[in-house]
Amino acid sequence: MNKQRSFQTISVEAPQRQTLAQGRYPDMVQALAMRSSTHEMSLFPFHPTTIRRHEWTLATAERHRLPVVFIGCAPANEGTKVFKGVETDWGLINIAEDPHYLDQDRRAVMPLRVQHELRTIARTGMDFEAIYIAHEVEKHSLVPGQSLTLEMIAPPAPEDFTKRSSMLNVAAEGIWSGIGKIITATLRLGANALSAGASVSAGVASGFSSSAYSYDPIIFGLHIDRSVQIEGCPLALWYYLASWTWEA
Amino acid sequence: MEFISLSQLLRGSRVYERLPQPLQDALKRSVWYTLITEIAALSLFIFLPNHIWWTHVQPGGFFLGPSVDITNAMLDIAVVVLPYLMVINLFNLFLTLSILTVSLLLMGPVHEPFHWLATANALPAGLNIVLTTITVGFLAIIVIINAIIWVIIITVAISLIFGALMALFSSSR
Repeated sequence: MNKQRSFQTISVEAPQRQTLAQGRYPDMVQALAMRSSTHEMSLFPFHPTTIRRHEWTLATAERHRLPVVFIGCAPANEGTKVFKGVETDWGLINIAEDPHYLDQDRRAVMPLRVQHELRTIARTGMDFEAIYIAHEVEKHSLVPGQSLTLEMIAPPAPEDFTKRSSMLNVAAEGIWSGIGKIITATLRLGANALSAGASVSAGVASGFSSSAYSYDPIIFGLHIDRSVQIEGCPLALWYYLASWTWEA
Repeated sequence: MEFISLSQLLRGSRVYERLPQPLQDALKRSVWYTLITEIAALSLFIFLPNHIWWTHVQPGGFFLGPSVDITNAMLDIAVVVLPYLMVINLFNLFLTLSILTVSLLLMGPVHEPFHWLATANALPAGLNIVLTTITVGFLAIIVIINAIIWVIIITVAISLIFGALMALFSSSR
């Protein structure tokens, strides 16, 4: 009965492909292989509340011109789900299980721009019960059944901060090198016997290690419908929220 | 299965551009040099007997002519500057210890202000070393000049005595 009622209440717009036709996102969406058409969505017996939430989300996104895009329906997977992309592969994971999120004391790291975008979405009253993150990884570095590791997804050091830090490093080196020269010069001036003052000269510091290629994370918001389970995972409506490229 | 909502995610999110980074090698060395300098300077100030700071050289001794005034003037300046320098050192030591604590003895990452602080931290320590070196260096120069003068005086005196003795010896013959 419930299933029948769900079928009748579904009225979902087709996903807005125009936003996704940029960069690697078409590959990503293709790789995720989500069901995105109204017809396919109607195959799932969603709870009416989920459908209403979905309709409200789409309407709010349109009203506030938010970059929220409905991607499709798929189970909210447990662990890493691996997708083969064109040039790279993707590991999709619940942010609560994300190695980088856990490494940062359960705090998500994102560029300021992305944080602003997500805050703008949240300010409209829009919330998603679950957040998933898709990590782009090197081709063939991740096989199905394997979990994402911190080494695979750790971002490079922030470029601007690294530059400033290197500049300060050189400055500190210069200060001590200068002190060493002053001491040496003063002692030489005083007496040759005292000219053995230690010259404090530091070696050139090694720079931050950063990956030669930065991979693009994508953040998805999910409306979870716990009334429908597929292979033990609740079914969800997936929305693209934000994506970025780490500086490298 | 645990889920984190968007609002929960944003509550604890960190800005990538402001992510803490470990101090680079030269900065780490700089912090250690600063710590050693501060401890050495404060130890000298605390443990050396008080009267040493007020010691002046007396005319008529080892120091000759204007070198007495120059040496005493330098010692006077050092005595005036020293308390201020020690206050700066004490404050700088506090900053150095803060950097060491926050960075878990320079092993962990720190926010950008601490990178700037670690660099600025070297300046008072450097000033300390430079002032001490210059003061000690100039005093050493004065001592060496006086020593050279004394060597010349003694040599001339010995020569004169030796010459006089030789003259006396030759005249007596």
